[in-house]
Amino acid sequence: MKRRDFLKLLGVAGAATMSTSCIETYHWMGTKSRRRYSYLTAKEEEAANGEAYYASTCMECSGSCGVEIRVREGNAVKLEGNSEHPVNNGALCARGQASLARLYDPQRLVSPMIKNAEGKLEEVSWGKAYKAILEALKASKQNYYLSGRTTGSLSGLIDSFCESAKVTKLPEFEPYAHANLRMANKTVFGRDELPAYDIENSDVMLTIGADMLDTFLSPVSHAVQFGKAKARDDWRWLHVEPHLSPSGLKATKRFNVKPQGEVYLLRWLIGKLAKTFKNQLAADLVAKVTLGDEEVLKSGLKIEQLTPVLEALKSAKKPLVVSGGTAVTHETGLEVAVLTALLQWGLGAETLDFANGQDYSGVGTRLDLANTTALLKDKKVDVMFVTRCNPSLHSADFQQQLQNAKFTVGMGLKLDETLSECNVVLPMSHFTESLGDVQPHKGLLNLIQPVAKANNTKQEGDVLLELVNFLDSDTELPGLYEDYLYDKWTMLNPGKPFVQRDFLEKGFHKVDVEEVKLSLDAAASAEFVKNATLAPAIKDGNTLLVIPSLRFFDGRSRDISLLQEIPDTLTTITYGDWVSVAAKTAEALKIKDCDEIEVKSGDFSVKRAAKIQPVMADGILTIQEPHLLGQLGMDKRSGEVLANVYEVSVVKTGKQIPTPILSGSMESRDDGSIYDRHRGINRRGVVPYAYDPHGHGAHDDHKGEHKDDHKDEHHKDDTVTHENHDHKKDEYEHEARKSLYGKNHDEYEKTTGTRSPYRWAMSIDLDTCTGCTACVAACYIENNVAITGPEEHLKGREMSWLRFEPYVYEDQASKEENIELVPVMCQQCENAPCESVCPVYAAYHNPDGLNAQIYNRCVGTRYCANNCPYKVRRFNWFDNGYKGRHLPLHTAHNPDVYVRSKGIMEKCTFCVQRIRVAKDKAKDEKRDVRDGEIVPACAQTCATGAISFGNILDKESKVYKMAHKNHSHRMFDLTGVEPAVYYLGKKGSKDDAGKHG
Amino acid sequence: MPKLILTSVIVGFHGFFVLLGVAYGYGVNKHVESMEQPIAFSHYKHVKKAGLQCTDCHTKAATTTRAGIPPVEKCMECHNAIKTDSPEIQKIHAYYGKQLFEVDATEHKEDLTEGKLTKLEKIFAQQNHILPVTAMLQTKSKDTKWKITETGQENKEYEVTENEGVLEVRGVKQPIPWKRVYWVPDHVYFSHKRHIKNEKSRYFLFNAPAQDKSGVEYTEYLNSLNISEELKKEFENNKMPISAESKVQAQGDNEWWIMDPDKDQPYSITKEGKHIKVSKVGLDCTECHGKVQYMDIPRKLPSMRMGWCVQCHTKKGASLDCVTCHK
Repeated sequence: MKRRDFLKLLGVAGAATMSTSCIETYHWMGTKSRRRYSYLTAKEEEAANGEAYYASTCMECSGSCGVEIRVREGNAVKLEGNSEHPVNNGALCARGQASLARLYDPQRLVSPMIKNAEGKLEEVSWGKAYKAILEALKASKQNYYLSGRTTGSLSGLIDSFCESAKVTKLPEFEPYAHANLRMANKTVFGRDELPAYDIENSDVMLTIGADMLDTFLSPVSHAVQFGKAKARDDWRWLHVEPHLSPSGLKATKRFNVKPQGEVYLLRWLIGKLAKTFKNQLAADLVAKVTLGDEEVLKSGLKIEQLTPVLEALKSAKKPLVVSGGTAVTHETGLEVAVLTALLQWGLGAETLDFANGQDYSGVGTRLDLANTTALLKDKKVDVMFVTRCNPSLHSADFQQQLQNAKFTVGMGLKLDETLSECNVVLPMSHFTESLGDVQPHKGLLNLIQPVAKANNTKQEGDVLLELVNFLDSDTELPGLYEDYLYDKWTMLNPGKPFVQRDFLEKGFHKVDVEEVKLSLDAAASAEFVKNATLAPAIKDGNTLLVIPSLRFFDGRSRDISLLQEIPDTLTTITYGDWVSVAAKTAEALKIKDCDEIEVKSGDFSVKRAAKIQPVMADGILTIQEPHLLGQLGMDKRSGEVLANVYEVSVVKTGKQIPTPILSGSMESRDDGSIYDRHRGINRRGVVPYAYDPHGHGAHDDHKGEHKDDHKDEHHKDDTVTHENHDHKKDEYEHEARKSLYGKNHDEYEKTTGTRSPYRWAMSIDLDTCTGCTACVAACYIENNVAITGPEEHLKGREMSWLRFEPYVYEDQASKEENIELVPVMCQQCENAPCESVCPVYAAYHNPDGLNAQIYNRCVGTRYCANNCPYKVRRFNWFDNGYKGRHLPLHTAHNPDVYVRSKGIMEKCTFCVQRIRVAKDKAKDEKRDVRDGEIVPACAQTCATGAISFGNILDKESKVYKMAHKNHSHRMFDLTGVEPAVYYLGKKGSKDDAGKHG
Repeated sequence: MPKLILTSVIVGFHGFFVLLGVAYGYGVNKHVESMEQPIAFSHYKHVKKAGLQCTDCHTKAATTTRAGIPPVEKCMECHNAIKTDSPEIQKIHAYYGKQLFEVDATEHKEDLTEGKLTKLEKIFAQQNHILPVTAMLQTKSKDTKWKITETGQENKEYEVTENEGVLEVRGVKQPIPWKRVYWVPDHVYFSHKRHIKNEKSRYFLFNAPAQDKSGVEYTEYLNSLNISEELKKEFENNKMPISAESKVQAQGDNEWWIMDPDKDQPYSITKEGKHIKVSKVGLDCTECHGKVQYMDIPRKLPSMRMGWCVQCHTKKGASLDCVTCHK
């Protein structure tokens, strides 16, 4: 049965909460319990080894990706993207993968709490908590409800609650409210909304500051579209940003603009393109905006850089221009957003979809937060509900004034800065314990489905309904949120029958939306341009940018320890905070990695460890702590945050802060605490280019035991050009080594009479790999990889099986420095150096060509790790998997994979448990494993489809085709270890924009 | 003196073995006791006497990695009607939440006030449950529904509802906490399905003539659902017993199964070139689990250590690749 079919079969069953009676329970030590419980009634999950998938929604950010929750023996063990979902198409980001960790968080609230006379929170029953809230509500008149961004049925319920309980609903709080973008759309198009960006159908994308693949609006959705667009050869992406983002590295061409310089760029573009616009702009507006060739240089871009951008936009049929991120969060951010909207309008605006944009209508800006703080300050608040947001973290003012509220009710999963100040704290259910719906965008309704039984926690909807029913016994609202939801769902499509079963099975429902016909509000635009600051003073000196983090977004994901464990893509720092300093600036200031620096400007001052960031533009510093935005003020016009700190003084304090920087190969350390791994990573030359005449990549197939089958591989294969191949041959030809393990296969043949039909291999397309680290998170969760903590990381004892190496190299064509993000996992070498040194045969070569590692055989000599050229083997110095995990965490283990104990070497196995399942199924059906049937966890979650896995002996397989493309290479191929992981280098910037740039 | 030493040595020597025997017996006894299940389910009665097949209850054994313990629902399919008076069956009913019995409420209260043993308590006592019932009922007699928690016995809970002058007693729905008899370590992957479906376990090649003596083609011969005498002899020669009641079933174009009604696993016949390949489909459950059909309390007979697995894998030509079983 296919997984989808299975899901269909079980979708409905999932609405009911899972019974505690699982057939196999796991003891907290990770070993199986001595008890076996029988179900009361037969469970369908049993039909597939106690495994089931339930459609639900990830609630980690506003993207609202559809997920399938994998349930093993009654426990949710993994989230995987819902492969049919229109938003994420089966993919999930690192934060989505890790969000399951909140369910098993040992520090989760387990009971309601009330602040006692001493001001400490103490645990009480739900009844007492309700009583306190109801008494406070009855006695007061000025009540307020402050929540995070809310969509779907809950939004309606909050309105009903506020109405019947006489509570005023405050604008929702989001640290990144996209105030400038919304205001600009209102000015130019008359719509106070955010559009959806149609990347897939565009032919040229110009992004100004918007980190499309990292944090901007719906990164997974953008990445899925990016993957599809990238497959077309004619698609080009031009990216303009002051700093350096992982998204920028994936653009066909990236330009460094000076902070606030975007205004000049956009003015110049509008002026140059005005004549060829599809939708004409008013002549006086264009005249006001138009900029000469000399003035545009203020933006920091050169004419020879700008011309290709202009040409690209001119020749584009469906161009897409997006501004966002750092480009709109500064003093002239609103101008940038408006000019972008005008440019979009001029270019046809066909790639903007306002009908299916994210609904931000209820979200307030920093102005609204300031108003709320003022209310608190004036002691006008009696009862205040705070839920799903943490304004205290983002505003010190709010935190201070919150005490002025007479009574505060906080709802959340864990005590945070806001909740710990509340009078009553109510523990909320995780989304895998809740029933509900959310709207990823206006045309889609997503299902949230419970798979686990809530333990003394409640859903926000249930709490509100219970409060309403207590307050007013005649209310029309039902007592249970479940009933409320079913009522809402039946009324979804008036006129059409709503098939509840379909909704529960698929996990989403398309809502009919009206098509939006865009029109220009010429008067408002002209009015804005008249008063706008169109020539901002470009400040010299160093600028600090406060940017959202790829791992923690606006800081909300910071309390997930798994995300702390996964390195930041560009800096490879895991634990701790830092300031990235552009390499040239660091050189001038004589700053080294881990030096403590003080970055100061006026009242604003931070002391952090420094990390040198190659490739970033001179004079730029970045810090990934959006909570600092609260100190920086806001744009009074729109309420947008200001993220740029100009003319900062950067001073070394003389101290050093030990910061775990994981990049480069493992090196021994001098003094035990701080060490320089950085020097190892520059220009190792592992990333060849298709156009690069000196590219590496001696392109050999397994010349060992498969010699006969693949003797004339290259000459047969027409994807390899002769010139290219021969050239490589001259330089890098080496005698193909005979596999040391050929006899292993012979043994297998002798005993079984057959030769294994498989040789598992993987190909990774570095051109589409975005460095989002979702694969790393998926690997951690799928394989029960241990979380070790900052102390161990400083000693180089991280456990990740899959890591990102940022390789800095000089682009052959443009002579510019660039960074390539290379995911490195066990390369499953044919002549594996690790196998020959294992004294106990724990590392051995299996008939399918895997370097298998038998954990219970391993005695921990660590010879294999010493002998591995890729440094992918990890040693368990402690019982991380056992002792380190608090009680609820054991249930998060994937029972298909062994939990390694102290003294065992572990590594990537190509998800051998998934291979085993696929082979088992194939054997049942008396056939070989089909191509694409085995999807390792990393490939499964990849949004751009950069990773393919399969049998390289099958010439029809995708991995064979990828591995035999002419820009395919293997890492450190010169060592002759014959790895099974093929990297596909960048296709090269053959288009105009790149060539001339 | 030497005689005394000699005697004591002899007595000591023999005594040592006697003590060893006693200790062993004690150990076995303890082990058997420790394997007592919450319900005295007897495989002997169900398999040997009632004639059930293993897969009748362990339904998933042939299709999933684990044989699975049947849900309580499965027991109730028969025991809703069969032997409902037995105390052991009553326990199943209790786990399933079925109403066990009812007593008169007024009579019960009278008994309580007089300090007598109530009927409710008597029934529980008959079933060897020692319950602090009286205390529970007295303190909570105002409610119409209350719970009796049986301490010691896996915290089995009963629910008593007062309904129109009648006290209805039923068990609280709970999974049965069976004691685990077989398990493999965490680092081992084991699939029941693979072993039951395994087709290489034992086979012989039979030089089948193209036609039998009467001139009928062999495939047609098999299709006519008869087994020739020659083939029967060959079965005997290969120590693969076949009973007279065995029947042939066609499985697709080139495969026949010989089903023995007394056996779990059929024989499979396929044509391979000039030969006819007769193989046993999968393993009998008894090959690993011992003769469970004779056990009142199931015991773990084989060592289930790696050597035991590998021996069989080697003998039967199964995979010897480490990752086949190690996870």
